[in-house]
Amino acid sequence: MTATSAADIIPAEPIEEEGRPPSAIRAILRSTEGRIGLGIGLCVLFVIVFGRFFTPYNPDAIQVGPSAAGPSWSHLLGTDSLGRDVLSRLLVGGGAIILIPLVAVTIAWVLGLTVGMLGVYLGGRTDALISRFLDLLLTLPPLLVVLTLIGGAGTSTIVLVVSLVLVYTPRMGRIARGATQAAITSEYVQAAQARGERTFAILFREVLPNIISPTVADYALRITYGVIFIATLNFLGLGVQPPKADWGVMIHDHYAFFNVAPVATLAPAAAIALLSISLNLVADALTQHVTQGHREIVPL
Amino acid sequence: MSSISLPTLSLGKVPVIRSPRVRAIGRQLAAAVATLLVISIVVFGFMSLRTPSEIAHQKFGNQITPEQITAFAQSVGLDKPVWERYGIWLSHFVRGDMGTSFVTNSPVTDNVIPRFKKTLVLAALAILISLPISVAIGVFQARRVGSVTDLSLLIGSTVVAALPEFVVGILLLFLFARVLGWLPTDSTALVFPTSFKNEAEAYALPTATLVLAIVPYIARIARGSLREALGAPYTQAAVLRGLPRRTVVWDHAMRNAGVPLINAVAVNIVYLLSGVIVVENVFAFPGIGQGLVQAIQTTDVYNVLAIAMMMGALFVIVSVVADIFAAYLNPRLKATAAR
Repeated sequence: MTATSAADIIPAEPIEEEGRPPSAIRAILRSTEGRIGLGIGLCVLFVIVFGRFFTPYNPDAIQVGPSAAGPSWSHLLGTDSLGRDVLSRLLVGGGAIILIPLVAVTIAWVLGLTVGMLGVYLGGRTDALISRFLDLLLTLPPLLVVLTLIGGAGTSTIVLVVSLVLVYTPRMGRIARGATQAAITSEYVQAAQARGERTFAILFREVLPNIISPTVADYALRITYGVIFIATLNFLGLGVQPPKADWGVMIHDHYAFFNVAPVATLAPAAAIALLSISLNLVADALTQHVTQGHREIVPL
Repeated sequence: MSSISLPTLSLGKVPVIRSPRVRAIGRQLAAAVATLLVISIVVFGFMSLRTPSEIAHQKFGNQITPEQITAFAQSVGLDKPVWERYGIWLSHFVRGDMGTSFVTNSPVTDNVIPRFKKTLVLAALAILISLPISVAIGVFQARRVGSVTDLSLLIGSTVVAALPEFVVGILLLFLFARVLGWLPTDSTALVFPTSFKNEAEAYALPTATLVLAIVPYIARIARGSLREALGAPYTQAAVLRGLPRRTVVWDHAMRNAGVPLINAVAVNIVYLLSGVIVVENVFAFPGIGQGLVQAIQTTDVYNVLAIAMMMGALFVIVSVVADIFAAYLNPRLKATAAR
């Protein structure tokens, strides 16, 4: 039951080039989509990492200009309702939106791989129990669950990371489980078993290298979802909290003044859009590389 | 199984229950109820992380004394253990009593039901508009896989799908409300609608945003499943028999692509419909999504629970309906039923 639904995402046989996993970077660079995505992504990342050194004003200083004013020569993107310089805040506001998903999805990836591999390897009742539990978690609507967790536990970086881990671990576990199931019946695993290798040696040396490639594509995809998720929480005012400069928070703070000075809302929205589009294009290129089929298509 | 021999002549409908279709639907309904129960437990558990003292401080301000906190907790039942409170809440909820909010002191029903009706209209509009559009786009693409049109539509849909709902909403708001001035900047008119035009305008932008969020996903799934069906031997056979292309695509390929398509829609619609939470907050649309965020910000446990259940029910109903459709379209289930 679970194997059929995972089969949509996971290729029947892992793609191998002489036993080495294919280079993810090469796969991205081979497609136009991936090149465009990587190009935009590197520009946005440059702004996120080095933007803080080019701020024309102190991003947190209030009343450096008029309140909620449109673009001018002294404030290229205008000022927000507290008279803070929008450009300066834009240059420093991209940190949390990329770091939180990166940390959370990495934790979820490791947890998902562990749970998925262990489940299949232990088999029997343990596997059934793990699968049922993952299925149960998967039926919960993510945004609803995360919002209520924040409602109960308050919002902080740790809560945001935990909630993303909670949402993504079952999904990655399912994919890792499906990939492990495909790998475990192969000859090289049987050979290792025949050699009398221990369970953990087989899992790490034989199974893991072969299930990495489908999960890497999923990892990239989850990062993009995570960025959207965190940006959304920040926009709703339930993520990173106000005095901090953050793209989502900037939109949340300034939204009431949208009609007066739209640029202060549109600029961070565009920054989020660029980041998310670039990540998505890269993830898409990776996914297509991993799942490329060799089926003949009738042109109609 | 058949140890109890029912008189088949008087209960002619009994054999119907054996039909795999009905059994599949029955399983779906049981799963739906289980899902709702799990949602309620998780939401109740999470919301109970707030201590009575935190809730009291938020409601009455920081001047409140420990005695007053205890009295408040006792009066609204917050002093009882979590599982007991959950039991009380559940026993009331299944009888249709959503309780009284201890934050606003008003019945939860009065807040949630009018909101739910509006969200229901919004979600139904979004699904009804986006499904035909996305299937049409998917079929259009699948018939020219690999062409420039297909690839540009593919990249276009990736870009649109990559945009968070609130960014799409803000862009639409900027374009249609501020630059063109055709539509209102928010949907607050729905609280006290004055005319049909006024009401329709309030629905326009939120619906459009949801449609833009849903279409790229479903179109992509439609493209994929139809593409697979177009590559199958029966399609080749139909082409070789010289059947018109329209018949091949819509009658042969689409019938087979329909089942995985509807299944995929059933799975994804839940996540896509979560978009109402965001969209409603972009446009100040007075639905349950806006109500949820407001209730969470004020730790209004009973309102959060009621809205979570409403949302869960909405998701579950949509996916059960999709499953029923899939069960009726699935030729394998049909074959078993006929036998």
